[in-house]
Amino acid sequence: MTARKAATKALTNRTCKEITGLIFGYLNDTLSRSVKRDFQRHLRVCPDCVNFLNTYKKTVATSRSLRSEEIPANVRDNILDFLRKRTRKNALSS
Amino acid sequence: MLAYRSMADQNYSVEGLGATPQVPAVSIFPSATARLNRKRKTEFDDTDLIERLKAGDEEALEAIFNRYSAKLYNVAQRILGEVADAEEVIQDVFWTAFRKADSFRGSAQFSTWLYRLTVNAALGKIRRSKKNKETEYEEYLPKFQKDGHHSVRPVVDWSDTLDEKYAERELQQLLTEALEQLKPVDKSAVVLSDMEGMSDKEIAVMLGLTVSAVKTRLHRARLFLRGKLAVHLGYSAA
Repeated sequence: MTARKAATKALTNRTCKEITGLIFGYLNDTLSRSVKRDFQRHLRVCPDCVNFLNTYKKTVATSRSLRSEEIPANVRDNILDFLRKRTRKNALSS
Repeated sequence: MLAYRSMADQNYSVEGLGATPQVPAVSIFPSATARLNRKRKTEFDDTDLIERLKAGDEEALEAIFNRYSAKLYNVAQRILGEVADAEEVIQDVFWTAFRKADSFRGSAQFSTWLYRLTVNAALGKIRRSKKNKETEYEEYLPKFQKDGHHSVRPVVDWSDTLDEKYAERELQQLLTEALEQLKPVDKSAVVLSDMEGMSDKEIAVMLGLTVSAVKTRLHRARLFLRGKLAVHLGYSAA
């Protein structure tokens, strides 16, 4: 098979739309061996899907890097105060 | 001080959740195993505290609060977006945990039970407030031609541009704003998966969805977030 034919086959076996739908499974390594092979073949000949995958991965990485929202000291104190009062009241009534 | 509203009528059982969370063989989250090991160790340490909590020990409640409040607050705050709302939810969660400790049967991890209380309370609060403004995803999802190719070509790889163009704080703000536009359940899934490192199975139990539905929601949410970032950078979401 010529390189051009192989590229055409890889592109027609799975469309870009299908490849986009498989990204989640690919990144979690849950694709079957044959589907994963199709996915990788498509990427070898489709720069658009490579670029799409890179930006998808970057989005997840950015989301993963979001800093935790820290609990403000006054909020923490308010909640603890509430819980202490409630548990005391609870103990007295039981 | 915020008013307390009872969650007593709700069911917080997490029976059916496997004791061992699912860990993908190959993960884009390399620290998942380390996080899981830490979680298991903490779970072991919780046993005594849980028994004391069931016996109505106030100090045990405070110890559990000190151990989990930061994590749970982050989840509540990310889902709700408002400090006052997150405060009310966290207050509600720990008071419920104290009163309903007996309903924790130990078939799941204690932390999972607390996370579930938090997510349910946060989503319930959004439902009751009816102030949630949901963005239509369609505009930010990829588009394809009839033959299945990308409709806008070439697709630009802006993954490096993002770091070059924005300082870390700006990037965090940008994504936070995009995150706030997700549907509440989808936002919860992203927070629990990407920020808390939970498995799809754990998230499914917490949100009352199938594992397959969690994967679909996570994927669509990520496509939406990607689209928002692309548009912000001046590129097509497609």
